[in-house]
Amino acid sequence: MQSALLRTLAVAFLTAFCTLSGAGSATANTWGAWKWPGADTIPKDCLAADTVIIHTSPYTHSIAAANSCGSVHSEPMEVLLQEFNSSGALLQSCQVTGTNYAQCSVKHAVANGDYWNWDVFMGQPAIAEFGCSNKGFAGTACWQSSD
Amino acid sequence: MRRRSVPALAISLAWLAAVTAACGAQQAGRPAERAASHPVAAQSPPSAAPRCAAAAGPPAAVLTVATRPGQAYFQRRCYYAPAGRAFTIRFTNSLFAVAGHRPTSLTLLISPGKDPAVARAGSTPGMYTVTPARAVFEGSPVRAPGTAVLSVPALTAGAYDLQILQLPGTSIATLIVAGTARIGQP
Repeated sequence: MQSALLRTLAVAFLTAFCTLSGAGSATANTWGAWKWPGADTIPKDCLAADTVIIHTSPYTHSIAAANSCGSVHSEPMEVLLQEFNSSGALLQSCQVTGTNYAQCSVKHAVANGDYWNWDVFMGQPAIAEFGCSNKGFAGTACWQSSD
Repeated sequence: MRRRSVPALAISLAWLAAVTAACGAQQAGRPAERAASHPVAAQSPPSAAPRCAAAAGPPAAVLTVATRPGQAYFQRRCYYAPAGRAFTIRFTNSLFAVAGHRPTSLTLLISPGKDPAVARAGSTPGMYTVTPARAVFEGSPVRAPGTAVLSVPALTAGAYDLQILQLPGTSIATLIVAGTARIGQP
């Protein structure tokens, strides 16, 4: 019970830190916190938070995510980050599975017209997933917190 | 007094470092993407699948579905399958990452167009959620280069979204289920 509380606090901390530090609009390109939909064995009170950031030198995209129910329900969490060129060729991707926390990065894989996609999966096979792509949304991204 | 163990302290510091790294990144992202931090309000339908015309004739009971060579898209925007009877999909994955020629592993999803497994998340551009439980069919993962023969149970007539679990933001096609299978097809 105590560990579950600590994990929930850790997720809340990740979200709050990104917000209160001013990282939202200036440094973290996308971030969010979600409740899982309660599918399968995942209760609705499970909370996940993630952030996706971009460095310019060297050009790097990184994703980090944490969830509050990884250990309690033995559901792995996976992060996936992809970089595509304008014609849809997959330049680079990274994919990492964790329990309460996972992160990965791709580097040196962008040029004009490229776009990215990131996803966070819960469960293997996936029970729930959320993510974002800026394909078709030039000048926009996925800065969001919900539920 | 209870003392925090060294491993616990190390984990805590690692967590703090990871969060700091994640949130305290450089300020100089691509201008367009930094501007994206302000979501644009726009109402969008849950499905982004293309609209397709009705089948020209009885659909085949064996569909060939493939990714475009080297690209994260389906080869076609519209696919057709018979209603009310099981059919087969031969799904070919040829998608490799350019860097290191690393193969991908892709999973085909079929879900009702009115209640898609992959749905836009509210009004936030580019954001989506995936609920595999909504899919009426989920194939086994296919590693590139590879082809899997997938047996799809009978579906009622209608429009379905054809998507890939690992490419939800890029790959979408429409599967029209209608009519009966072409005679002579398995």
